[in-house]
Amino acid sequence: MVFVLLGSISSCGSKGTSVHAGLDTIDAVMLQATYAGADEFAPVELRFAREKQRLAYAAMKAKKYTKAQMLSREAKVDAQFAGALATVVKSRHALEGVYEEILVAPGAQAQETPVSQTDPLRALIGGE
Amino acid sequence: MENKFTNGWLVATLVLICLSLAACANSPLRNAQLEQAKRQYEKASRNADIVMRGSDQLDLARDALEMAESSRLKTANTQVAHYVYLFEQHMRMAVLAVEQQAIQYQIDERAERLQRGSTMVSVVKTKDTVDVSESDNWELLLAAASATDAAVDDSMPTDESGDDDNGKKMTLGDVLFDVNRASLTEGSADMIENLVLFLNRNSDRMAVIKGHADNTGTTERNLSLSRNRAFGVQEALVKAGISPHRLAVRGVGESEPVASNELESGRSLNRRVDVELLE
Repeated sequence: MVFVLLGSISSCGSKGTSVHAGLDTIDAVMLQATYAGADEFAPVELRFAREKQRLAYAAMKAKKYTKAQMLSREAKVDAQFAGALATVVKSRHALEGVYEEILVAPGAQAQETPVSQTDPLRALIGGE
Repeated sequence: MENKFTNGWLVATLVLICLSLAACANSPLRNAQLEQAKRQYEKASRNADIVMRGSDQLDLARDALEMAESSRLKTANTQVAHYVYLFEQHMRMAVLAVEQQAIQYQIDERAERLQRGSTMVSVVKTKDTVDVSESDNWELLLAAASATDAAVDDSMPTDESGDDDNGKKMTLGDVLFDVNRASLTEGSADMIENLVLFLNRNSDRMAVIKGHADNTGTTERNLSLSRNRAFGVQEALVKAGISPHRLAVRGVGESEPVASNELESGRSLNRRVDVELLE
């Protein structure tokens, strides 16, 4: 629904500019997030990024370049966020591991300890 | 019923159209979002942790905020929402960067504490062996060690690996001492006996008792620990009748590992005492 709205909203600002520069680097950013373990440790965030990537390609195919460009930027920043979150979640597990001196396979740890759902931005800066 | 349903769809469509139209006008909602983003940025830029550890992301957030601001001036509200979204994601990453570094700091600190804990055990071991060395034989042992130490440095074969099979070297593992006991463990009695036989078979030759440590703890401590381990073995040999003048004691710390220090099994192999015969 959000994307439908975004789509209808952006239609008034489309200028027909090329978005190749935005789209051709998404895959690399996605790959980095995957390497950081986002598939396992930040799956929701990574799925969100992938969905925007899909929509960005679709928008470009429909020649809605401004929309494609924005979705591509958001997909990249979402993927970066997923990667950063995965790194932190892995570190949290590592910290628990160091503390308990127990070596458990990362997959098993991920299942035992639920990923924190708190928004880091709200947690530190607080909602206003 | 059917009418209600159709009306519902009509209302929904109208709402969508209104929203789409509103998006092209200068929406107060977007302005409110932008103002909130600005306040968040100001708050974050006063936070020392974020400024220190999340500065890259904070800079990107500021860029996005500036883009949002300039988009607002051009009355392109979709772009404002877009850049505010980018701003928020960068801010989230700045906060994550702070957390990441804080966690890393804790991991390092705890790892160091654990390492210090095992070093403490080593220190206890060292003290025990010093107690052994403080027995009546201490001065004798020290004299023997210092007299031969210099000579050993010059005459030690550089390539020792080949000597093992020729019966010129014996290695004792790390089970020689109990933590809270000054004497050698019972398990080490057989090894000492073998060592005495080995030295008696080569009664015309000097021997170097070389203590080794793993890489846990500081280099200085490992040197001292390895030396004291070697002294402990020397004391046992002297008690078993070997002349202290035949025995030189050296501690080489962690400098001559026989296995990787990555795993405990390797470190265990590195905590050892070698007895080598000199030519």
